[in-house]
Amino acid sequence: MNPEPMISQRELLERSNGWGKRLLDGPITFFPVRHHSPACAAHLSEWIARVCPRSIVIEGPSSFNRWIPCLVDEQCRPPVAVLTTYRPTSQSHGPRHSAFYPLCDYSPEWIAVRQGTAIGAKVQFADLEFADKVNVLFESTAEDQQEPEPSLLLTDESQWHHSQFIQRIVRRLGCRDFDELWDHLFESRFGVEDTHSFVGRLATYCDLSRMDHQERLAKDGTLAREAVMEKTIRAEFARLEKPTEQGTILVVTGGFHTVALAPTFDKSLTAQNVKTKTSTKPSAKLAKTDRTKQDKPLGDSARDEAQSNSWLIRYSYDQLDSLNGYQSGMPSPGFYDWMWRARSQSTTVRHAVAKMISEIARSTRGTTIPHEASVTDSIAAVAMLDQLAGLRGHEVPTRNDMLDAITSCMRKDSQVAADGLDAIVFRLLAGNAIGHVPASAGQPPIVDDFRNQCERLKLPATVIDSKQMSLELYRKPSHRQVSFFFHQLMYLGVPYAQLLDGPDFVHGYHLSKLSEDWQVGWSPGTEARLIEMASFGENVAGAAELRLEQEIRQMEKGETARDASAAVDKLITTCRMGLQAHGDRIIQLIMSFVAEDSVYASMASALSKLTLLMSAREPLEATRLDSLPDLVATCYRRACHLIDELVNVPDDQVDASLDGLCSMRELLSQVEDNHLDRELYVVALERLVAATNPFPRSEVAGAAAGILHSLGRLDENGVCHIIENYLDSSMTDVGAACGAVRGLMMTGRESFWRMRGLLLKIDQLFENWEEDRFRVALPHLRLAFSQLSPKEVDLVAERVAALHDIEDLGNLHHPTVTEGDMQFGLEIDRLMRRSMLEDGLDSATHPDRSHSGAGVSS
Amino acid sequence: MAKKKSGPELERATENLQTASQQPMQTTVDTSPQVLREPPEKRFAAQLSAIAAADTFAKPPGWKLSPRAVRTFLLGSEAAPLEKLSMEIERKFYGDDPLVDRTIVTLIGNRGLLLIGDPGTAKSMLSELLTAAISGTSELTIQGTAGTTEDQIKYSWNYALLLSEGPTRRSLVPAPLFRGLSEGRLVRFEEITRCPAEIQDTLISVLSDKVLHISEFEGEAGVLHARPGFNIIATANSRDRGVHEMSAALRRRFNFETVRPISDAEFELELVLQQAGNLLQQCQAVASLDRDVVRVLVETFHELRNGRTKEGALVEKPSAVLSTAEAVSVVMSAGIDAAHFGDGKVTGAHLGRQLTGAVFKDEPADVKKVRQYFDVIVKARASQDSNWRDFYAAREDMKT
Repeated sequence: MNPEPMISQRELLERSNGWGKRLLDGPITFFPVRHHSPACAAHLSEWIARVCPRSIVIEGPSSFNRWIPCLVDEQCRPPVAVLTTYRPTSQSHGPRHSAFYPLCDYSPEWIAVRQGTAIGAKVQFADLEFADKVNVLFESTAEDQQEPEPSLLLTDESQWHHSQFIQRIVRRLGCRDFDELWDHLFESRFGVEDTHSFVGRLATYCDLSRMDHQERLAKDGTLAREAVMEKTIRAEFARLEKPTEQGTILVVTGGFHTVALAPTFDKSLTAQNVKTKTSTKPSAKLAKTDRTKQDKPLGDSARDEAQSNSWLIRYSYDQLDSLNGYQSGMPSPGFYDWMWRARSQSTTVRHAVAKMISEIARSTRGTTIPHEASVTDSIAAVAMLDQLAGLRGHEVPTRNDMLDAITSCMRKDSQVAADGLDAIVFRLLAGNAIGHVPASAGQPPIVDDFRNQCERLKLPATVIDSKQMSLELYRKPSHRQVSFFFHQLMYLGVPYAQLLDGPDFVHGYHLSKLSEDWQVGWSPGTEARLIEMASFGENVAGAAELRLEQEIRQMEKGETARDASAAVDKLITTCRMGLQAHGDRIIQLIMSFVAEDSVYASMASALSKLTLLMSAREPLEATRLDSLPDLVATCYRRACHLIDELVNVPDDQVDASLDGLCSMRELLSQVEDNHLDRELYVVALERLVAATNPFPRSEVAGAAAGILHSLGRLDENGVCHIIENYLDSSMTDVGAACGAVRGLMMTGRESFWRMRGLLLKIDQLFENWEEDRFRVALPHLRLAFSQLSPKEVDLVAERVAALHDIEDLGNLHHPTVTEGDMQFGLEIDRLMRRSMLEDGLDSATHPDRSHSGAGVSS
Repeated sequence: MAKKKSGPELERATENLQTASQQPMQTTVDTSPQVLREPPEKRFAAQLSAIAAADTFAKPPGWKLSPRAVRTFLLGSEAAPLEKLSMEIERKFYGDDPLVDRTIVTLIGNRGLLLIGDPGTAKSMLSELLTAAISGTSELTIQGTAGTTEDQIKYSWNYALLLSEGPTRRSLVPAPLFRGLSEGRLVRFEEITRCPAEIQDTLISVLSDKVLHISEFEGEAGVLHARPGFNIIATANSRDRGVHEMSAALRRRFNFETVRPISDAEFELELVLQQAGNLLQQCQAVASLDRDVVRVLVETFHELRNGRTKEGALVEKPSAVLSTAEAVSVVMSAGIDAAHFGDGKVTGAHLGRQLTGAVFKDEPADVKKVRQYFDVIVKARASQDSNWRDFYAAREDMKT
């Protein structure tokens, strides 16, 4: 959609000039804010102190009003968040939706609540309830195929980012992203601009960005939300008997809503007619939704608590940082916290930022990063900070000015190579503050969830006793639910259930076991740990999920090993916890590890684990993972690619690699509707056996030949040729040469009794070998033959005998000989040897070939 | 087959075009086509004087323009507007505006500027433009090679005069560093890491004390103090020797800035088409370049360089340089191939064949990576798009 034709440039200019006066000068002040913006918070704080409104309406569900006493409690220390949850009645087993409403020291909403209460104003929230918001979202997207995903934050600002208009300004002004643009336009005049001009600019900006969104406003529930805000403001206006004094009512909402709300009141304020409906365009739209949507969702506000509820919980900057992947307001909350504190401590922002720079420089010292920043580096960075801010026209330095200064002055290498400096900088910029909630805020929801689950699943939850439970994973879905719950608790480190025995899908042990045995017992420590985990989520499953996500992010950042097999373990852990609904997302993350893992054995093991996961349907409920087949395919392709690396696979990976080759062949034969490209595997193996520089490891070549033969891609001659190449080679390590036989035995043992030519060839080769060479090779050949069952060994022996025209091998088994007889024979043998040695006849003690041949087969 | 240009030579050639191609209209106005390549201060003389006329901001000592005006010169008047400007200034450096800010600010300070990056990322162009705008000349250039000597950096002597007059100012032949210090201008040091470390270290005292000692002169004359406006812009290639061998003492006197490849594939395509077209014209090869055909190559380069396809699938990155300049060279060779051995129409097959030459330098691992890319990504696309299908045919050439 192209927004330009909707409004002429002149109209726009006229409209933008009027915003400051229009929003601030009437009896109702419409104060636009961005959540977690220090500049907005500072202006709002000054405004409240100056105008002393009698009533303050803040964007936020009205049910949050009950948290206001807790928020103004002296013991309440941000960052805190109101956590709200909702499960639609229609889907009682469906997912429970939850969202946070975070507040930090410099949140305008926090300022409005705290400062408003202090001056005796009536403070209240006004917005659609979270439950209604979810319902509107589901209703409006009912016809779409995609299921909507309600934002994890009530203070979601994605509309700010995704507007085409904003994207254009970002590009035009040469900013890297929306956050830099915001800082450039608004935070960079922190403390120097007057409120009217600030509000005017902010409103113009929101006005323009809203144009792109006209089509989506009804769908995403924005109009319904604004209808509620409007209704509350009108009620306040009526309650205070149509005040005329400036700023009697203060409305603090996201700027995106302010520009729509204010015009609906323009006429009513001037014409003294609250009920007027003839106003500007957005108002007409608003009014329409007012009529259609309002009654239904708001009618049942007395909703069951089990369905929808809210809690005040402590929060952390770590969770507030959008760089951590939560869709939060602003990145690096720690930075803005410094900025905010500079204001209250009446130092300059520049001073605070300079202090941060030296803090960062200090943090680089004594670490492993290649260049430790010196004091001169800090000085250069601060000088650069000033210059950059000047060049970009910033009154106060912004976050990106600081990052740029650090990049220039402290990095002494190409930026492509991550050197840990970023990690230090972003850790410091994120901040580490953790909030505190007063005791009156009650128990965190996760504890209630734990108790409810225990009750539902009939598990001990109060008494200090312990019992053993056996869960039948395959037969009883209810037992599976309990198992999921236990695994979640175990993962969160909650001391409650301990796994004693059961199938281990991660390591592939005890897979035949059909049940899990647990030791279950409640202790005070159980709840203590749960309370610690409260900020991870409102229920046990949610907390486990968030924690899992963090771990995966750590893996992504390279803080832990990035091998595919370990990543797949994580996926299996996810399934064990019954979090399959999120498995698809984790699969996407795992895909990236798969692409980087360069060890064939690990990739093949990941592949076979994934196959296991696909087949272990019941206990792991893996059938619900839609993208698992895709992951298997990616893994498969990668494994095929890595087959090339097997040419010189290290000793310790030989067995695992051969197993991998076999399991891939199995996989190809299992998967009927082949979405795996069989050719990739076959061609890779063909490349492997054809490699000449260097020659592939003998085991690998033998195994590949066996597989290719079994797939009909290599004829008998080809197999013979490969084995011959190794056995007849000039390799000094005879044992290594014999590996070819071992490899072939592992993947195509039947060749040894089916291919007469192969036996003939090997027989001839052995015939030509030096005695010594054969003796050295013997243990290796024995190892190779250990792959075969005794019956198969007999079969091979028969065929070999036939080559020499011996039809009867005689009796190879002597069931009449007892163990005592054998020991007696051995003793005679030993004594004979000794006496021969004493007689100087030791050379005769060398075993001859036919003797040892029998040794192999017995 | 055309002999492939390589290294700095190619980089220079494409950078040259990169700037030239952005002003196709002006090439006709150009009245002095007598040289193959004019320095930027000549090429953009009109723009520079227009900017200077509109420049009302404070200038750092020794600078011809204010920092804001320099920014306008590099980023264009749309992104970095300047009031009362009499003409439109086009953008000359793409992709990383904050980098430009940082480089300008660094040059005001007392540290040198070191631009690092893969070959073909327009480092030299950036340094030329900066020197042209700030000092009015980009000619004070030291080309770093394994054989660069101190003479070529500081000063040498006119031996005939030296013998007759002894060491006097008249017998001294100034090299770029001497001139930069005495005239208060920026000095460019290309490929600094190609020089031996001890040669690089001659810069240490110049950068920290801003003086050059001329041991042959006696007394005060033996110390040349830098005039305001002097600084050094060095460039270093991150591929060959890297900056690790640079001494720590010198390193701390430079601010390091990494110049990255262009991240917008569509823009890169535009650039490749223009530059390859120009190069083909120069060597009088008549070949037609189809946008969709070349897009296949640019996308391949982009995806191999970024390690991710446009759909989000991961790709193993080859170690070979896959810069815009390399893409241009592949397209150019394909064009010559098509012009002389085909019907003049460049197809995916031509590009595929040349790709092997560009990527498979001496790294067998790269061949594997590219082959894997062909097996998985290109193969899938080949079934839907004829251009990709032609391109896929080149897979046959990838047997090592």
